[in-house]
Amino acid sequence: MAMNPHDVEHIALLARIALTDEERAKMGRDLSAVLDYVRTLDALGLENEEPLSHVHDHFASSRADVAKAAACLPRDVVLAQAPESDGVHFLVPPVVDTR
Amino acid sequence: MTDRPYWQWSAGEIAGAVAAGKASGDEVVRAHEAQADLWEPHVHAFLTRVPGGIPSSDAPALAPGQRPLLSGVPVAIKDNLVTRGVRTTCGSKILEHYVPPYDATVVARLKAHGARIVGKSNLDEFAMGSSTENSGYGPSRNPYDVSRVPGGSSGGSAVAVATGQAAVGLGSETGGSVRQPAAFTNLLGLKPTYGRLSRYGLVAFASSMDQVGVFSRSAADGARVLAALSGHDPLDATSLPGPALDFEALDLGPETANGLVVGVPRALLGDGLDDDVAEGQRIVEAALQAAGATVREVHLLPPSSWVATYYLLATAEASSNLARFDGIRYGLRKSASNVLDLYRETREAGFGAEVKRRILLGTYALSAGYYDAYYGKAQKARRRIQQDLAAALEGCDALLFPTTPTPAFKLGEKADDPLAMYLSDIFTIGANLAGLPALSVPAGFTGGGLPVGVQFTARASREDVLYRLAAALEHQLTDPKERRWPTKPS
Repeated sequence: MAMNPHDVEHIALLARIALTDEERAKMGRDLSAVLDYVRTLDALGLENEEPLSHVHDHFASSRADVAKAAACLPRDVVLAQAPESDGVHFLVPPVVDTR
Repeated sequence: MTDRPYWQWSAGEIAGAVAAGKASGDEVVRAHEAQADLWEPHVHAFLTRVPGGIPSSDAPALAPGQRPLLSGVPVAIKDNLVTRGVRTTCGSKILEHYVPPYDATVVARLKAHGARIVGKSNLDEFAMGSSTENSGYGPSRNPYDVSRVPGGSSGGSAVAVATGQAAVGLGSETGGSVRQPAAFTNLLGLKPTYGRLSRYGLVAFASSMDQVGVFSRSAADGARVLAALSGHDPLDATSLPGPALDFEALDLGPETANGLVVGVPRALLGDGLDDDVAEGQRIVEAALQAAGATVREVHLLPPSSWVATYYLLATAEASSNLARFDGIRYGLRKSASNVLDLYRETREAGFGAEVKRRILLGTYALSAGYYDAYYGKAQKARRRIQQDLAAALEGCDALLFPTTPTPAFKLGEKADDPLAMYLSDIFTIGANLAGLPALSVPAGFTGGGLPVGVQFTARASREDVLYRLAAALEHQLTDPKERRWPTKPS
């Protein structure tokens, strides 16, 4: 399965990664090689197999819906890691284009 | 007690002496820090060293009746385990200045057991790689030959334990990232049963496979760390109930493997297997038989199917998990006039080539029109592989085959060929896909002095069997006290 630069560009947009032209070409070659390799799975004859998502039954176990104030981080501690903040909110560029 | 220097002591010896007041925890830590001063210019095990160890005054209390198992024990932990107040980078430039406001559960439990966390160790960025060459901060090097890789992704912790900078170490596994570096550096490396050690605070790569793992220089030390860190964690929805094993009752004596049955998939030991690795496998089989175990042949699907399945599932999960690194709430931000470009430019600048490659592959495998052909098919293959390993383990206590097809390779040797790098993990991935516990153990050295490893895989929650087999090999082959330490380059 060969991925052309157009395919790579589409996937990179979905993944929110800007690639350089050079990266796009190399990614196309690398991904094509891996996609060729994974075709070895066709030999297993998996048409009637059930997909497996979890290896054991202990997943998404529920717990009491109790708020634990001590486990909540203070606002200033959280915002201290923010690239841009006004001390109350995370600051981001406009999300809705109002032009 | 012993006249060996502290940095050669086992975790068990240190914990016993410190708890009894016969050794000072500070002096033990200083001896390991002196090893780090000697070795770090040559091997680069750590991204962040913490003089004296991370303070543990905020440690939670042990459960009633529990006694501390790691008093004064210097531990290296992989830098994808979050540490309150200590920088955690995941080997990525996108988290270069990230200081977590909380501890991973395994970190909190290390502190509670009295361990001294001496540093955050190097890794392939976000644990994606097999050599540490994908670290955003430069590779670590193999102390047995510094022109070679230490393995990865948890290579830094392996190097720290192999050189006496720490007595034991934590790494993480998604596809072999503890066992493979353990094999390359003359250590034991455990990938526990999926769900055995809490993933809370382990930065996610592929959540259905991620598991914290343990590096040690002896079976007893590995079992000790596992016992200290296991136990249900309500903060991880996949955490298993109960402890992994009863450390006090675990028999690691010379007779412990008597009567155990070990299955060997002979077909795996064919083409492409290095001669020294094949010899290591033969030596271990003979030693197990001498210890009273039975060795029999079993059959497995070709491990190429493990690799193919893994690189679809792990990348798909990674593409979702790594969406959180977007330049909004923490980490690197590249400014842009609109939010879409902010995301794209931030992730382009912050992620290295392998992380981008895997995110793109995973995004593709999950994308409209390709989901059934790639992700869906891999999920079906995963069930087949789990059933295949379960069938091979019927009538066997454990499987035995090499950890890696070759000893440590040269830096740069596979760096430009992603598929060749992926295939260096070919023997380790099955246990991750099936959620089974597996332990790499030392199996001698090549003529050139490079360590070789073989691994045991057991049924779910049978880590006790793994450490018993490892202990039997120590009695038959090499006493950990007589270990062959690496020689520092001049």
